Amino acid sequence: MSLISELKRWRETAAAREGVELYRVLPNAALEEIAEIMPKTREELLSVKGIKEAKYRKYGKDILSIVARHGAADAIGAVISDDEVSDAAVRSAVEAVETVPDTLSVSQFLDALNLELSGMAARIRGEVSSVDERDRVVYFSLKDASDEATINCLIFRSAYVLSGVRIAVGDEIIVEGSPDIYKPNGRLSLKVGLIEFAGEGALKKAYEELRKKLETEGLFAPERKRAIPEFPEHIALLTSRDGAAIGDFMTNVGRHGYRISLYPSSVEGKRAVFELLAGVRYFNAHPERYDALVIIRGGGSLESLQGFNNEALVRAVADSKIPVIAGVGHEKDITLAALVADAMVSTPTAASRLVRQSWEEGMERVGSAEHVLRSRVSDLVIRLREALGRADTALLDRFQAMKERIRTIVERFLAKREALAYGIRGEAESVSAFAGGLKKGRAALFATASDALLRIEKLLLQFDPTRALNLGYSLVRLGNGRILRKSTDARVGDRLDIRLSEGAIGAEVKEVL
Amino acid sequence: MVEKKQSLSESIRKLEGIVEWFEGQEEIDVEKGLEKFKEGASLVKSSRARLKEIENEFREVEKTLDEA
Repeated sequence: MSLISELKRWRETAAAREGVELYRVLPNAALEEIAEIMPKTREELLSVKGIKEAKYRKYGKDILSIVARHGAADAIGAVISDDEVSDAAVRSAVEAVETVPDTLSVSQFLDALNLELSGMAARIRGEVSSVDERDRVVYFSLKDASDEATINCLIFRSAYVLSGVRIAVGDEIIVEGSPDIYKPNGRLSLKVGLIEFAGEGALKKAYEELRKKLETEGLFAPERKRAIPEFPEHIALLTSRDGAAIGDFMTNVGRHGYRISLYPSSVEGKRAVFELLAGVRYFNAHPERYDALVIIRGGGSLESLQGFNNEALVRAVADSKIPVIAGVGHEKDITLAALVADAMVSTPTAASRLVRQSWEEGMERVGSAEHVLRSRVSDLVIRLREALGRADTALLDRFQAMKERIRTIVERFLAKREALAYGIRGEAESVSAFAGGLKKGRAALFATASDALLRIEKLLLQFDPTRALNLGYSLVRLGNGRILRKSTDARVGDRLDIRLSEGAIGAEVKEVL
Repeated sequence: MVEKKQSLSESIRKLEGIVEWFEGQEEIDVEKGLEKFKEGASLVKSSRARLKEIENEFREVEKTLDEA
């Protein structure tokens, strides 16, 4: 760990112990300067801006021993353990500190006392025996119930408001603070940083009162709740650096590429209020950087959770510009900080679930969208294929028709060509046949001719009218040689020539019937 | 980071818009359908890339209460 972060850790502890804000212990600049010059002596430390005698007395030992331990650890490296180194270093640092001036003025003495006293911060329980509320300070006294032991207390108005309690005589309270002597009158009083009611009963009462008040103001109204944004990436985390809560959250939030910024804060008891409040304010200084503010801690009694019932914190949560997820464990009573948060769950694990929820849903949403797209597009492809098929058939048909036409044309052409060629060939053949015939000579020609004659003779024989005469038919001719076929062609007195199968006779028409 | 987050939210919303379009069509115009599918497919791809497991970054804030 670097010296500066060691110093900062120390400052956190010191501030928590005193119930003050960090810069009241030492400002950042002072810590940085210490880390820079690494003072080894009182003088060197006093040369740091912001560290005067008072601060030196209060924190000198602590700071010098941190620096010495760190320097030694640096020099020797990791070979020797921190403990071994620190003994020697701290001893020399302490020796340097323990040179106190001999004679003091009253004021110096009181200052010295006060410095010692401020290191005696305590947690004290007692009954309020008087209250005097002024503008900037509330004075009150605490006494024990058993005997009359009394201590005067004061609390600054701001701390009083932050404590979120209104004390009255007779209240049983617990205060945290350190004793301090008021120099003008030498009276000792307890400078209180924090007041809380003692006992579950009082806590419960305060809780119920505040709850009612905030409810009347409408701070718990559902319409005030904002949605936790989808796919949160930058998470502002407000919880203890140690403890189960942060572990539970980190293990269960999933790996979705978050950027998680932790503002470490104590979460135990009422003193947690300061740091929780600072954390809410820290993140809200740049609300645009964060998607969600997660406030978590494990469960606990009403007493251990009372920081989350503090009015100042509750209001800060309600006013947060970053949506708040509260995973503040509870038994019976839900903490008021959780009630005003935008989302409220009972455990750190549940808070992590809320953060990762939209991421997991995102997976499902994309998955189902992809599924629909795929099925739709495969429908489309099927339809396309069908359409293509149809187009293909049509094309094929057209192609076939075209092929047919081309074939016809080709055939027609071929046919024409054939016919032409045939014609020419025919002509040529007949010419050559004629020539050949001439050459074949008379004999052949006559043979052919006599054949033909024979065929004609047979044909003629078939139609020879004398064959009918042989069968008993007669052939009647008129005088002019015409064959008489109808009786009306003959007139009385006409001469007829009748040819029979054998011979012929002449006759005269006596009567036309 | 912020743009990235918005674009994931937006991508998924766009993607779901496309799905809705598909589901709202009686008869899907082939050309338009293919175009939408192409857009959807690239949205699925980019969304998946952001949704896959990515290691978280963790840091502790510097308490700078001096300014407070």
